[in-house]
Amino acid sequence: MMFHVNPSSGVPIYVQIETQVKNAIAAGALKRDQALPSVRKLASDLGINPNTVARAYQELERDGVIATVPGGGTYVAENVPRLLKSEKLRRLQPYAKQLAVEGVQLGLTDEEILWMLQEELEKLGVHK
Amino acid sequence: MYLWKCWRDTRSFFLVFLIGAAIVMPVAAVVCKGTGLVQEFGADAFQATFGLLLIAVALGLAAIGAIHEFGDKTAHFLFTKPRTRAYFVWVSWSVGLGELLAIAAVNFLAGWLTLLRFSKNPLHSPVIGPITPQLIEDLIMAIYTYSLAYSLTAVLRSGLKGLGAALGIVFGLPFLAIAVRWRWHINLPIPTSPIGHLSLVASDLTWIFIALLFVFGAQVVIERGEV
Amino acid sequence: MSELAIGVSGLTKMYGRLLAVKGLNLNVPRGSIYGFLGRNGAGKTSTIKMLLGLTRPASGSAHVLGMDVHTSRLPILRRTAFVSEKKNLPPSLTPAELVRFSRGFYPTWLDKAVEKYARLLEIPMGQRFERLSNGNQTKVFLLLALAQGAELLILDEPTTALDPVSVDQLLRVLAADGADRGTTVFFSSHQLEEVEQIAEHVGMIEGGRLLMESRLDDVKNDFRVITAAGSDLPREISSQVLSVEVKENFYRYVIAKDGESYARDLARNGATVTHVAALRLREIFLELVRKEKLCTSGNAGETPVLSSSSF
Repeated sequence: MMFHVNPSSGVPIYVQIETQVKNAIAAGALKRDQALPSVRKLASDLGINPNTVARAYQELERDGVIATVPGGGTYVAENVPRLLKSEKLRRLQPYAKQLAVEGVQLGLTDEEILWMLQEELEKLGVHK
Repeated sequence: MYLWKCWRDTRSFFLVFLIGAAIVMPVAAVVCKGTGLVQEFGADAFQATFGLLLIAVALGLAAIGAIHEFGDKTAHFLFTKPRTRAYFVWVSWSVGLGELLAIAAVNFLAGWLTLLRFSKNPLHSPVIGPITPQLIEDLIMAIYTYSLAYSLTAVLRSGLKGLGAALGIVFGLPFLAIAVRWRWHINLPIPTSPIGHLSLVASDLTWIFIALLFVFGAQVVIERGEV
Repeated sequence: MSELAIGVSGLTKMYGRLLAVKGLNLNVPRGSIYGFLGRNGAGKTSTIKMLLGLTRPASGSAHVLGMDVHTSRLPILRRTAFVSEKKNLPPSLTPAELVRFSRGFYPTWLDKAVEKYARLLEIPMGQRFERLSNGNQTKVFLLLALAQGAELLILDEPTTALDPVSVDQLLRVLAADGADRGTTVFFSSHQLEEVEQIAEHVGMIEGGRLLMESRLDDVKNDFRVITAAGSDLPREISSQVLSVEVKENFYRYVIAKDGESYARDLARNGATVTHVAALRLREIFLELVRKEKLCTSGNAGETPVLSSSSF
């Protein structure tokens, strides 16, 4: 798994790492039980503060995306749905809004916007 | 450690003058061989060079060795080491003093041995005797001058300024004393002559005490100073 | 106070009539990497000098590793490593000799670290300091600091004169070394990117005053710029609303906290919110400095100091 972060972005580094992990899992690039680099290794590779990586991993673990085995090693989790459906929908809302706003701005119809979304879901489905 | 650094900083100067101190009398004796000058004037010449040499060394060591970290802008490095500033002041002063005494000892030894060789009676060296009190006074003067120049260099944060100020005081003081005596009829004590009615030994000890006071003064100024 | 590696309260420093540091407060948690940001002349070096006993504050208090700087200068120096702004070291000594010199002062000295960093940073250990390039001089200074085995590293503009590769090396070393032994790293800089790369906490200083102090992540999470269109929208500055810019009926807000809900409130009151976005550290810094300059020239009231409470 290769990461890239931009420390100067308005998005905190730990969020960037989280996002990339989630994206990778969603796209099937990271599979269940696959190991993630250790905190120190990833921090060293990216040239950033290990605490930042640690925070990303903490958040991911809290969300049930990854799990740490006592004795070492961080792995992609079974993705146990620890979050309630309402929470999951709440998290998705900003992205839906973004899609809707952009689509309307561009003058696309509702059908075209939904079609776009469908396309993306299918792409992910293929890789799963 | 700091002692080692002080030595490193003054090493070249010290070695040059150490060698000079060791050879000046023997060389003079060789040059004057056969003229009888050494027997006549050897002791006086020796005393004069001893005095001058030590003053030169005193001034030089003070200008080079005294907390020159201000001069080369490394005070922030030195004064963030976990030692009191007083420590740095006194260690640096001591190293210079040690070097001064070493040069004095070498010069004395070289002079004594040279005169011994040329004296008609080897058992009665002209050195131990008439000129010894003068040599001691020269040594005290050197210690006094060194401490004064050292303190001025440390306080003024510059070897050059310290040297200039020290020279000014050393040479200016006798003239000031003359002026004061002429105007107000007060006899100012001149280093390192006897003070008032004190005995020679007491006066010498007083001058050394004053020398130490200079260094203590420098310590206080440096402790309060900003880097 | 002992959870803080550095705790400063109301610190003030004057040089003659010039007020270099004005009532500064700093909270640097132990084991963290803290970036002390400010322009040249903002007061960073003066502050650092006071922490190390090189100069004395006019008023206020400062504690380093739980000890008062007024009374415990030596114990603090024993446990704190320092890289100063001017990278001068005794010119005639070689790095190897400088190591030998420094070693004796610190019982916690790490000989292995000397080897490791000398190799890693490619320092010519046998060359006289005055003959080293600027970059190498800085590296030597850094080496001496890292090998000290200190609990706290204070670095004043450590990346001056370093090329980008060396800057990256230095930042990586600081990030890794800090994590290794739980060392606190406090470094000042006017280069925002460097701070962003490794700092967890950031404090901004301008004109001797603290502009803000916060976790870097919180700054990025909380600060928002909002552009909206409407009439008679609020214009007051507060601790939440950092600045308001108005052009005809377009408003631009910089919000320090709860930007999203502020945008929602605007929308609820009839405004059309066109843009809500996170701010980069550079933009926040420029915004705060600009505001501080306005304040000190008498246009607005006291600058509310922003600080994130959670550590």
